[in-house]
Amino acid sequence: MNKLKKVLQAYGTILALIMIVIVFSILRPKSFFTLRNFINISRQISLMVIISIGATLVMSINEFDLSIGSMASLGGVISALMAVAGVPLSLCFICPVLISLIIGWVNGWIVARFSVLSFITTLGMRTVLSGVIYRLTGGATVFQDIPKGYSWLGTFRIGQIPLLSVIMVVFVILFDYVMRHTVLGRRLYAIGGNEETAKISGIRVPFYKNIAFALCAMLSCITGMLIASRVGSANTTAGEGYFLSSYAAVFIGCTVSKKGIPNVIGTLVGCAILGILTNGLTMLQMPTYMQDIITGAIIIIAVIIQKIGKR
Amino acid sequence: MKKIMIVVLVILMTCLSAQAEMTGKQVALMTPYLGSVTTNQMVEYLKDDLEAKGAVVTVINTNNDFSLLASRIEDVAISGQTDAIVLVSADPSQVANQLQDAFDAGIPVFGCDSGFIEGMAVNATSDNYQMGELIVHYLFDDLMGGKGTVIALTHRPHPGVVKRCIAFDEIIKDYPDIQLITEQHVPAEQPINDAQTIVENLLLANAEEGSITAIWAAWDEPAIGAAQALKEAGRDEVIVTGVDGNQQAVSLVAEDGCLKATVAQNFEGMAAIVVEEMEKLFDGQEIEFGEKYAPATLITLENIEDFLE
Amino acid sequence: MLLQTKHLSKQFNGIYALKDINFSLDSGEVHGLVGENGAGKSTLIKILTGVYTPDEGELLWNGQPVLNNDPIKSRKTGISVIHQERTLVPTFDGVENAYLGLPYPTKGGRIDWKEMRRRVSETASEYGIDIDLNKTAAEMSPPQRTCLEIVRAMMNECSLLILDEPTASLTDKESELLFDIIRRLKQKGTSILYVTHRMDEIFRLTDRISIFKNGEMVERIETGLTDRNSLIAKMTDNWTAESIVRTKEPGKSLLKAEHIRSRDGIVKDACLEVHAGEILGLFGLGGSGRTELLECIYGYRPMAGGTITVADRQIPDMTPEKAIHMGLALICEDRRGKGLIGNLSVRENVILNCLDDYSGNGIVSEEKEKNAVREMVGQLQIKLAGIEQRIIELSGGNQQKAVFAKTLMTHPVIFLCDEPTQGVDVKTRAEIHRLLREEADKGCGIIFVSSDLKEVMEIADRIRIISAGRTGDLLENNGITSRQVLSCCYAM
Repeated sequence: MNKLKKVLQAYGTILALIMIVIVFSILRPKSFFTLRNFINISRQISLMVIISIGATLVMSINEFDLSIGSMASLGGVISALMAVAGVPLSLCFICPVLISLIIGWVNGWIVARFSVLSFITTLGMRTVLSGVIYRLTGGATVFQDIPKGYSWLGTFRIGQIPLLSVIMVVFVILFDYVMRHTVLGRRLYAIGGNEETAKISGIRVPFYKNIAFALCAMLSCITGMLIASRVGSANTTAGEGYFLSSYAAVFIGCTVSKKGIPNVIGTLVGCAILGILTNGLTMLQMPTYMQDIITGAIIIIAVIIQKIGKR
Repeated sequence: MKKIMIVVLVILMTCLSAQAEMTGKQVALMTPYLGSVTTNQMVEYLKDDLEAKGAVVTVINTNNDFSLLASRIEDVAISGQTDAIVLVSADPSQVANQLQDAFDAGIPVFGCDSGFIEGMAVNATSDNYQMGELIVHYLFDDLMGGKGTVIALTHRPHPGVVKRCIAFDEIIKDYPDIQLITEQHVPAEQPINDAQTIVENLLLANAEEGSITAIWAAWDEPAIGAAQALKEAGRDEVIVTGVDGNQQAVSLVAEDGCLKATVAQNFEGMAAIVVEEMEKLFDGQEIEFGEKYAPATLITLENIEDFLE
Repeated sequence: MLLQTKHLSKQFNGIYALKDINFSLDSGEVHGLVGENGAGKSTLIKILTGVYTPDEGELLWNGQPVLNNDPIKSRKTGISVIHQERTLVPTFDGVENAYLGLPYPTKGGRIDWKEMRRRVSETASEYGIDIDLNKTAAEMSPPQRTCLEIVRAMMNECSLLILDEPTASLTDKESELLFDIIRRLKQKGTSILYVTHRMDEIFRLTDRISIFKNGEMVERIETGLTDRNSLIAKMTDNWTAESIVRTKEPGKSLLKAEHIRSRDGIVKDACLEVHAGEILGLFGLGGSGRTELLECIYGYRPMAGGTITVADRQIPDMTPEKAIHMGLALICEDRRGKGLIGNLSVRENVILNCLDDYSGNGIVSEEKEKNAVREMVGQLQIKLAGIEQRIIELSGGNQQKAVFAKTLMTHPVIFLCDEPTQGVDVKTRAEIHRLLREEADKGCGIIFVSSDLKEVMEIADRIRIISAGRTGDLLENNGITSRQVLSCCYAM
C-alpha cells in the first residue's frame, strides 16, 4: 500500500496520461495512435501550452492572473489591426509584445506596491482590457484586409511539423530552463514558497513579482497573436476560451512535481492530458456534453490521486 | 442679420418636425454577441438608420453573458430614460422576466434577429427555419445527390441557429441514404479555431478518402474553420456549407474551395424593418405585433459576384 | 472562595509546565500573577479558560468541582480573558462585537438591533466605559478595543476577568483609564486576575499576589506585606554565570544603532552597539520589542526614525538586500514563517542568500552550488538524507542548523540572532553556542537575543536590557547575578 502511494505520488499524473493514451489507442487504433495524429495534437495544444506557461510563472509566486484571456484577445486584436493598417508584419508581432509587457508590469506593480490581492487586481485589469478591445474594434471580429502573409506563423509547416508546435517546444524548453536553472526562476520559487523568508534573504520581492506578471502577459499576448494568425482573423473574445483550461493545466501540472509546485514540464503534461482527451473523445464522436463531463471528472480525479499520494 | 437667423431657425424647425417622432428618442441596442460579425453588422445598420432619424442610440454589449444582459435590461427598464429597446441576436425567452419589467414600464421592445415572445412589439428576422431548409435542401439534393455522410457543427443555445438545426434534424429524416456521423457543439468564444480543431480530429478518425461527404455548419464561422482544416489536410473532396453570408465566408465561396454555399441573411433588411416599425409606433400608428421576415438568398459560386464587396 | 485549583499539573513532552498548583482567588479581589518567562503563567490561564485540559488535579468554582475543557463552557461559567492578541472581528461594530457568541435578541423573527444597542450601552455605562459603539473594531484605538473586550466580557455576566499584559500596547494615559475601569469592576464584585511583568502596576492594583517560578507556585502573599525587591527575589533563582573566558578584548565598533523607532510603534527608542569579537546579549521580557529591534536594524521592518551605522558608515534606508551586502545576517525567531521555505530543498534554502555568488549571467552554476552546500552541510554536521531533501522533513535542530548554514554562506560579520536555540535539542544548542563564540573570536560581532536569561548569561559578554520598546542599562557579564539583571528589567 505504501509503495503504491509512493508511485502514485511520484508518477500518478504521468500514469494517468499514459492510461488515457492506451485507452484511446485500443478504441481507435488506426486513427488515434498515429504519428500524424500526435503531430496534430501537438499543434492543437500548442497555443494552450504557451498561455499556460504564463499562468505557471504567476502561480510560481503564489499569485493569480485572471487577465490572461483578455490579454490574449487584445494581443490578437492589436496585431491584426496593425496588419490591416499596413504596418510591416514583423512590427505587427513585436509591438503588441511590448504593450503586453507594460500591462503585465502594471499588474505586478499594483499587486506588489499596494499589496492588493492579485485576484482582484487582475480581475479589474481583465475588465479594462475587454473595454480597450471594444474601443478598438467596436466589438467586431477583425478579418477584412488582413494580408495573406499574416497567417504564415500560424499555418506554416516545416515538412510535416507545424511551426506552432515548434514554437511551443522552444517556449517549453526555454522556460523550463529559466525556472529550474536561472537565478530568476529560483527567486520566483522562493517568493512563492515563503514571501517573508524571501524578503529576509535579500530578494527584491516587488521587482520579481513585476517580472512574473510581465512575462505572463507577454506569453498571453503571443498566444493571442498566434490564434489570430492561425485563423486569419482576430475575434474579440478569442483568448477567453483558454483562461480556465490553462489554470486547470497548471493545477494538474503541480501534481507532476514532487514538491507540488507549478512547473513548466508539469504544465505541458496538463495541457497534453486535456488536449488528448478532446482529441480522442472527438474521434470517438462523443457528444459534446459527454466530453465536458469526462474532462472535468478527470481533472478532479488527477488532483485527488495526487493528494492521496501526499498523505 | 436677425432676419436671416429667424429664417434659418424656421427652416431648421420644419426639418426637425418632419421627423419629430424619432428626434431625441433614446434607443438602447442590447446584445450579448457584439463580437460576432453579423450581429455587429446589424447593430451598425440600426445605429446608422436610427441616428440619421435623430434618435440617440446606446449600444450595450455583454460579451456572451446572458445573466449580465438580464441585469442590464433591468437597469434600462428601471431608469425610465429609454424610449425603446432593441434586442439584437438575443433570445428573448432567456430574459423574459427582465423584459416583463420593460413591458410594465411601457417601453416597446423590438427584436432584430432575436425571437418573439408575448409583449414584444416586432421581431425582424430571417426565417431561420426557412434558411435552414434552404441550405439543407441545397446541400442534400444539389451538392450530395441525396446520399453520403455528414457532420453537423451546431450551437443550439442561439435562438436563430437552433431553428436551423431543427430544420436539419427534420429534413435528414427524409433522406435514408444520408447518414449523420456526429453532431459537435462549437463554443461561441473562438468558433473558427475550435471548429478547426474539431474537424481536424474528425478527419483523422475518418481518415479514408470519401468517408465524409459533407460538413454542415449552422453558421459561417465554424464553416470557415472546417474549410481551413480540410484545406490543410488536403481533403478537398469534402463539401462544406455555412449560413449567414459573412464576408470571410463569401470570399471562401468565391475561391471555389471546400466551402460551397452559404445563405445571405438580409441583415440590412431586418434593421430597416425594425426602424420602420419603430417609427410607426412613435408616430402613433397601429402596428401588427409579431415576427416580420426579411427574405434570405442562397449564395453559391454562380451568384457570388452580387455579394463580394 | 470563587476559584480554587487542587494539585493541578500539566506536562508537555514529559516536562512539567505546571506542577502541583494550589491556587485560589476570592470574589471581588484583584489578584496579581507574576513570574519570569516560562514560569507557567500562560499555561495556568489556558487551563482556566478551557484551552488546555489539566493532566492531574481539579478545578473548583464556588466550591463545586467543574469540568472545564472547552473555551465556550469556560465563558459560560463566567471566566473571560483579554489577551494581547485581541479576539474581536475587525469589520463588526461595537454592538455586534459585544454580542459575539451570545444569542441575538429577536423580534418577530428579525434581529432586534435597537434592543442589542440598548443592552450594550447599558453595560458599558455601568462600568464607566465611554466608547463609540458605531465604530468598527478596526477603526478603534487599542485602548478602545480593550474597553470593548471588557464590555463584551461583562455582557457574559463574567465574574472572573483575566487580563494578560493589558497595558502592553497602551500609553501611560490610556493605562490610567484602564485602571479606573478595573477599580469600578472590583467595586461591582468582579474578580480580576492581573498578569503582568510591570511591578508598579502590581503594587498599585492588586490585593494579593501569586508568585510562579519554573512551573511551580512559590507563594501567595498580601500585596501590602511585600515590596518590589523581595518579590523579584522570590520570582527568580539567584545565580551567577561563570565568567566568560575571552581570548581578546572587543575590537572596533561594527554596528551602531541609535534611537531606533519602528513605524508600528513597538520599538520606541532603542540604542545599541556591537564590537568586533563580542557577543552582546539583548535581554527583555515578553513584548519588549527585542525581535522588532533586530528586524529594524536588518531593514525588514519599516522604521520611523533613528540611524544605523555599519563599519563607520551611516546607512539610510536599510533593506535586507543592503544588509546582506554589508555583512549582516539575521536568524529569525520564527523559523518556519521567516527563516526557511518549507517545500523547497535544503540546497535551494541554503543557497538563497547568495545565489548571485554561484551564478553567471543569471544562470546558476549547479555543480559549484552543490559542492558549496555539501561542504557547509558537512561543516555544521547537518543530518539529512541528501541535499535535495525538502527542508521541512528535517528535525527542528537540523532545520535551525540549515538556517545557520544559509547565513554563513554570505560570510557575515555581524550576526543578529533571535532565539537561535528555540526548539532545538541540547546538543545542537551547545553546537550553536560554540559556533557563535568561534565566529566572535574570528572578529565578528554577535547580537544574541533570548527570552531565557540563563542562556544569555551563559554566552554573552555584555547584556543590554530592553523593555517596552526602549533599551536600558548595559551590564558587563562579569559576576553579575540574574536577580540584578531582572531588577534592571523591572525597574524600567
